[in-house]
Amino acid sequence: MSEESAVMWVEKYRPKTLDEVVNHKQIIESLKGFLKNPLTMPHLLFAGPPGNGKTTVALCLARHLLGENWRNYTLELNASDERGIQMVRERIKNFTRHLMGSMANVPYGLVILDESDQMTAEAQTALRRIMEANSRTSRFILICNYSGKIIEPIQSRCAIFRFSPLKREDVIGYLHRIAKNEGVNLTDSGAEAIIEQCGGDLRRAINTLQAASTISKTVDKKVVLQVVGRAGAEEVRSLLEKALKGDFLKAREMLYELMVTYGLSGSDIIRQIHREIFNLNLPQKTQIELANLIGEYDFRLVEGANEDIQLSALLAQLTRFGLQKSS
Amino acid sequence: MSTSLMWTEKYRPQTVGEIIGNDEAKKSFISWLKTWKPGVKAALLYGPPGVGKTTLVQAAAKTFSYDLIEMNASDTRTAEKIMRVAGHAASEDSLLTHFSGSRGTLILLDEVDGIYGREDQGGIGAILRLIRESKVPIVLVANDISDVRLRDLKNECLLIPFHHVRPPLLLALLKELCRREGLEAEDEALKILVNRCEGDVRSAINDLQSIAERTKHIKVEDVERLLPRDKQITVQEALKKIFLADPPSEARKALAEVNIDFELLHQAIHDNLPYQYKDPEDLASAYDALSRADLYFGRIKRTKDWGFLSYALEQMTVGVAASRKKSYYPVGYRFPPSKLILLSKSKAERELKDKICSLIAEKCHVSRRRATMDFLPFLKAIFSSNLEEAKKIASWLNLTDEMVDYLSSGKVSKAKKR
Repeated sequence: MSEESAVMWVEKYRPKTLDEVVNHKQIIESLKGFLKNPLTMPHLLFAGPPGNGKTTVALCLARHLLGENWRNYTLELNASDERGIQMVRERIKNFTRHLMGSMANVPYGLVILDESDQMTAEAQTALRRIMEANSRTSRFILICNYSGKIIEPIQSRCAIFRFSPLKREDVIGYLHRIAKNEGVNLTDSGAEAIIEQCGGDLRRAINTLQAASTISKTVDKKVVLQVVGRAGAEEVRSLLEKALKGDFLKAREMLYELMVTYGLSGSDIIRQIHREIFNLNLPQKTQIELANLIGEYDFRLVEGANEDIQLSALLAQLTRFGLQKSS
Repeated sequence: MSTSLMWTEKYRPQTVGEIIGNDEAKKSFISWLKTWKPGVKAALLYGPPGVGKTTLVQAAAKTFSYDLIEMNASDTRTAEKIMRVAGHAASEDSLLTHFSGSRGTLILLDEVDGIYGREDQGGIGAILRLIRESKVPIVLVANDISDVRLRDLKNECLLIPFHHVRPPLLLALLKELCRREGLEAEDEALKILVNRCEGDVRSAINDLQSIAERTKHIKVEDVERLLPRDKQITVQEALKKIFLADPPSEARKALAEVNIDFELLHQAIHDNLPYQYKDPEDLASAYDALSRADLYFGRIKRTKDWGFLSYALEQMTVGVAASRKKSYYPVGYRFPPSKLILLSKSKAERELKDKICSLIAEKCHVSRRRATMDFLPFLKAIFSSNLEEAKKIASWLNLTDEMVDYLSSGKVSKAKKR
């Protein structure tokens, strides 16, 4: 289907089989064990930072377990996109009903529930019941960033696999392979710059590379920064600078812009602010003080009800901080 | 309570003709009701309290023989409940219809503007569905329909505005009531009474009755002795009271006087705060109070324990006022909050963006949220620099022309906007 002719590199170069996955060796070995006797496979929980291969491994596993027509027996859901647990229950119900007729070909259906840590504890409790009710026909693969956000009863029903962050040299190696295949000249400074911006998030890294290559066939630091600049990552930095220079109103306006027009969530923004703190030209002691302040408001953001207010309160703190430092 | 005790009930108009004022509104409502058939919009009657909106619906139901099902939207909150009570009546003719010679059912949803609180999740959606599917006419009643959250609802309704009842009409009504109750009243006294009520018929009648409890000869002093009615203050006045409260404990009083959802007020305080507390010290410390208030709102949301509300309210009023070290003059306060305005303005753009992200989500095995963060910015970079590449991606993702325009220019093309 679409995978053969994929245009976005993240899809085009997504591994199709477990053997193609270069990292997470131990995890791959354990999963291959399940393939020998698929019925012994429990529900799975994949945890780890974004862009390090969790969904890819889940999809590979689906291919192995369910064969060529894996798509017919796989339900991909995204907890952060579904409107409430009712919708999730409804979709799973429809899926299993549809499975019943064609179970002869496959051991079970797979439900891949991505971003499951975005669900509230109540929703997870309901999910647990859904998993139980469907365990004869389906296996669940839950994917999340933080396994700690998954309630105990679900954790205890799953085999948990922690996907460690991708190593720097692995990301660079991957980028070079793609670049070579696409006839793009990725320079060392270009690769460094991508890593600087994306860390171990391979999805972001590949997207950055692809966007950069549309500007120039030689991708160096300058081109990468150009892309990142256009891609809005600069916005958070200048918002931060405005606040530290004392222009609270401008900073808050930029914050609204990020939330409303760019559609970033509060926690996405606060993480980016956190990342940017360490890029500012400030003494390390100051950086870590600010990081602590940000941590406090990240916590309040999770606990509170209104993201605008928590983020604005953080900006007000940063504004005060900036003025104290300058006086 | 026996109806004869309260004059507002005793003298509630039984026919449309007895209702005073708002002739335009009466006319449009009656003609809507008479010509209504499935598929026609619902009617939304809105305007200040005590001018006869609900009364008109009740009187019309009586006059034209409809079975009236009344639901107070702010009591019967959840979507389910609305569907259960009203959805049932809306989907089938009641047995009653066949035996009573009634023309059918008329549904009245009162206080619709009270419905969008947090517990009403789906409430407005349910009403919208009800309106679209209904086989019987539905009337909605509200005081204030300016809230952006009511926008979709307004599109599905015939809007019928009500205004304050003009003083001469109200005066004539009070004179008539005095005659019927055997009261003597000074002309001047009744005029003050009318003036005091600002076109609110219900409160005028209540005042008259409360004076009549004491005396059958109503003089100017009697009216002046009435306690000032708890006057509602505007959101702007409430903000001023909170920001400039002296001593800070006075700030809490604003809550009793303003008629607004507390979380919306919280947001309005946040919106106006930096314009009022210009000093960064004051601003940071007041924001800390707002942030704490928000933590309590979060707790209420999670635990459903409204006992935390008083802490939240305390922080957002007294907590803010107590942060003030410098002195300030009142400023022009903004309402509704700018974020809400921004949200409503950018609706077309956000919807388009959401559609793009759904397409990405489908093809690239990510959530829409991830697509927003990790794909959209890069697509924008590609679409604004390399048309050829952009075309390939567009056809792979099945993007529409409008989406392509947006990704390359960052703007939503006007022509396509519905």
